[in-house]
Amino acid sequence: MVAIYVLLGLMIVGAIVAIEVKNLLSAVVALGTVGLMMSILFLLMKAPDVAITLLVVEILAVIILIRATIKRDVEVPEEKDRPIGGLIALAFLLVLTLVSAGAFGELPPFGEPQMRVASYYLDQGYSLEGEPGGTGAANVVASVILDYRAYDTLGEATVLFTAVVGVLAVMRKVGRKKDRLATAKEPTEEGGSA
Amino acid sequence: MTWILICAIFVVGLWGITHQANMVKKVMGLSIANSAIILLFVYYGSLSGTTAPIEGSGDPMVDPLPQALMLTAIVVAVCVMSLALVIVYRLYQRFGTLDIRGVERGAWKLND
Amino acid sequence: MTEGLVVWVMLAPLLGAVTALLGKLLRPLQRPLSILGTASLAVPAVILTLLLGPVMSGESLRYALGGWPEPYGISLVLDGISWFSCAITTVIAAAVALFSLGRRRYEAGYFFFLLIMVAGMYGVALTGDLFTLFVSFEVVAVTVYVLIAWEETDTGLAASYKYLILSTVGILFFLFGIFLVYRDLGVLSISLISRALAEAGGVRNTRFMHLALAFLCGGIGVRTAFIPFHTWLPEAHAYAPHPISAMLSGAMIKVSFFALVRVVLEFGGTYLFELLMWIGAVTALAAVLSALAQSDVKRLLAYHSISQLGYVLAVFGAGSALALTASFSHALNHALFKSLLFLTVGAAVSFTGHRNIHRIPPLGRTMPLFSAAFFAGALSISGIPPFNGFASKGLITTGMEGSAAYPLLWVTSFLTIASFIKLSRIFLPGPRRAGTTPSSGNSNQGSVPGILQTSVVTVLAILCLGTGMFGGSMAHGLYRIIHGTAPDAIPRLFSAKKLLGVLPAVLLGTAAFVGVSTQWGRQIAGRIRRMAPELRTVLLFFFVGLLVFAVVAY
Repeated sequence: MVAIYVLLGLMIVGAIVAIEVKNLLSAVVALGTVGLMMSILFLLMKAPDVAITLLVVEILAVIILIRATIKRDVEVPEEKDRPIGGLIALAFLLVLTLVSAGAFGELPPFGEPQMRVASYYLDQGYSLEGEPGGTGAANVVASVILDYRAYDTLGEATVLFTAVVGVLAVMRKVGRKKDRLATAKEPTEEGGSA
Repeated sequence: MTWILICAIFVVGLWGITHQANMVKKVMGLSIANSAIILLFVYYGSLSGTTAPIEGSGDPMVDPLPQALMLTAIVVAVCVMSLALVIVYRLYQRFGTLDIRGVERGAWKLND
Repeated sequence: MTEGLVVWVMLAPLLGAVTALLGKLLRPLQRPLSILGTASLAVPAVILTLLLGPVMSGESLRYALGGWPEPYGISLVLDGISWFSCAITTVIAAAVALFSLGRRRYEAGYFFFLLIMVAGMYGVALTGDLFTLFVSFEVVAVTVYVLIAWEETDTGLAASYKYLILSTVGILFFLFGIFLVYRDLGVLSISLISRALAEAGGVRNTRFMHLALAFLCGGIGVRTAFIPFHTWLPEAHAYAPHPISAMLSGAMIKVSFFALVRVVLEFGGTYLFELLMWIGAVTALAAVLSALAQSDVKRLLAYHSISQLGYVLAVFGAGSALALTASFSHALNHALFKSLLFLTVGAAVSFTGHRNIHRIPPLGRTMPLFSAAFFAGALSISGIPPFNGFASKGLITTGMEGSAAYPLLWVTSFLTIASFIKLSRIFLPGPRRAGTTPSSGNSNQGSVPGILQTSVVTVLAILCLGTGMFGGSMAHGLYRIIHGTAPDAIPRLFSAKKLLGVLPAVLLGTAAFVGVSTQWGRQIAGRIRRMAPELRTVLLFFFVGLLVFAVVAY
C-alpha cells in the first residue's frame, strides 16, 4: 500500500516537472519516468498485461516519437501571459475535483454490483473449449479482449492502422511539398502522393 | 486516499493542456491526464482480488474487465498522440513556432 | 438470420477502405480500386432497406457478437434511432464519395480515410455498449484529424490541432464517465444500464450517475458541437477539403447527436431536457449572429451548421414524441441541404480560388446547374416552401408550441434568411468566366465541376425539394421508424397560416440584410468576426459547460 502511495507521489512530481520545465528534452525524460512509475504501479495492482503494454507502447512509442519529431534545438517561446486565465482554469479544475470528490466519498463498498460481469469471466474463462461459455484461455484478460469483447479490439486495431497510415500521409507530404517547390508551380496533385 | 492522488495527476494533466502555450506540452498534458484515467480503472479493478487474472494459484483474482478495457484505451491514446505530434511538427514547419497563440494568430485570417 | 446482417453494415466500409488503400500499392489500379471501395457503401444501403420493415414495426434487432449474451459480450442494436442514424450516414457518405470521385486530386488514401470514418460512424450508431461507443468515436476522430489537414494548408493543420485537443479532452471526460458507470453499476451495455437505473429509481436517485451522465454528455457534446462545446467547428468545417466539410456537417455531427439522444433517453435523463432546449435555442441564435458577420463563405456555412443543430437540439429538449420526430426530421433535412450547400459553395471556391464573399465574382452563368442547386439549398435552409426546411421548421413550431425558448428560434429563422441573401450574391447571374485561369499558381483554381459532381449536386437538390413537398408523409414515416407505431396526427404542413407566416420572416430577413450592409452594420460584423476565441478560452468554455451539466442535476 505504501509503495502505491510513493509511486503515485513520484508520478505527480514527474507530471509537474514534465509540464512546467522549460527544456523540452527534460520534459520528455520526466514524462518517461511517469510512464515507468505507472507500469510498476500496474504490476503492483496485479495487471501484468497492462504493465507490459504500457511499457512497450508508452515509453517506447511516445518517447521515440517526441524525440524524433522535435529537433534538438527548438527554441521554446515561454511568454506566459494572462495568469488570470490560468487561475480560472485551476479554479474550475478544483471545483470539478471537489464535485467528483463528493461522488467518490460515497463509493459503495467493493463487492456486489461491480463483480457481476467479472465473476462470470473468472468462472467461465478457463473452462475448456468444448464446454459452453468457456474460451479455453488461461489468461482471462486475453479471453476478454480476444473473445468476449472482440469488437473493441477490432476498433482498436482499426484506430492503430488508421493512425499509422495517417502519420505516413501527413509526414510524406513533406517530401511531396519539396518536390512541388522544386518543380515550381506545376499543376500538382493528379497522380497522388508518392 | 489513492483516488485523491490519481485525481491530482489528472488535474496536473488538464492544467498542462489549458495553461501551457507550447503545443508539445499540451500533448504531454493529454498523455498525463489519460494515464490518470487508466490508473483509475485499473486501481479500482484491483481492489477485488489478490492475484493477476491468470489461471493457476487459485487465490481470488482481480477484475479482468477494466484491464482489458484499458489495454484498448492505451493503444487508442497513443495513436491519437502520435497523430497530434505529427501535426505539431507540420505546424512548426509552417509557422516556425511551437506557441499555439502564434499559430492561431497566423492561421485564422479574420480581418480579410 | 436478419440480425447477422447488421454486422455487415459496419464491415462493408471497412473492407472497402482496405480495398481503396490497395490502390497505393497497385498504382495503375488506383482509380478502379477507389471506385470499388466506394461501391462498398451499397452493402449498408441494401441491408438498411431490407431491415426497414422490422424497424418500422417497432422491433429492435440485437446481434450479440460471437454469441456472448449481453453483459458479457457486445451487442449491436438496430432500432429506430440507429437505423435513422445509419441511413443519414449512408446517403451523405455516398454523395460525398461520388463527388470526390469526380475530382482526380483525391486519391487512394483519401478514400481510405473517408470509408474508415463511415465505418466508425456506423459503429457509433449501432453499438449497444458504452466502451465500444468510445472506441467508435475515436475511430471517427482519428480519420477526421487526418482529413481536416488533408490539403496541408496552414489553416487546415491548425484547425486539425484545435479539434484534436478539444475532442480528446472531451473523450477523456467521456472515459471518466464510463468509469463511474462501471464502478457503480458494473455493466457497460447501454440497455442494462438503463434497466439498472430504472430499478434504482432514476438517475437522480443514484449516488453519482448524474455526474457520469454529465461527463458523457460533455464528451459527446464536443463531437456534436453545441454551445459551449462548439468552438472547434467553424475552423474545422471551414478549412477542411470541401467534400469533407459536407461530410462533417451533414453526417458526423448528426451521428454524434443521435448518440447523445440515445444516452440521454436510455439513462432517463429527462431533467436535462429543459437545459438542452435552452442550450439549443441560444446556440441557434448566437451562431446565426456570428454567421451573419462572416465574410469567408465556408466559415459562414459552418456557423450555420451550429445554428441549425441548435434547432435540432432545442426541439429535442421539448420532449414530446412529436418533438422527437421534428428534431430527427430537421436533422435529416439539414444533412441534405447543408451538404448540398457545402458542395456547391466549395465548387465555387475551387473555381475562383477565393474564399471571401466579396471577391468571388457572380457565377450564375458560369455554372448554371450548380447555381440552381445552391438556390435549392439556400431556400431550404431559409425555410421557404416547398423546400424541406419549411417542412421541418413547421414541425418544430408545432413541437415547441408554448415553450419560452421558441422566440429565439423565430429570430434565428429570419436572420438565417438575411445571411443567405448575403451569401447568394456569389451565385447570381454574372458575366461568363473561362474554365481555367492558372494565374496565381494556386492549384485549386479554375477546375470546372465534372459530370459526376454535377449529378450528385442535382440529386441532392431534388432530394431537398422532394422531402419538402412530401414533408407530411416523410414525417409520418419517420414517426413510425422512431417510435414503431403510427402517429395520432401529424399537423398539416402546407396550411395557409403557415404559408403566410413565411412572409414576415422574409421581410424581416431582408430588413436585417439591409441593416448589416450599412456602414454601421459592417463595423459590428467586423467586431464579431474578430471575437474568435483562443484555444485556452475554448477549453475554459468546455469546463464551464461540463460544470453546468453536472450542477443541473442537483
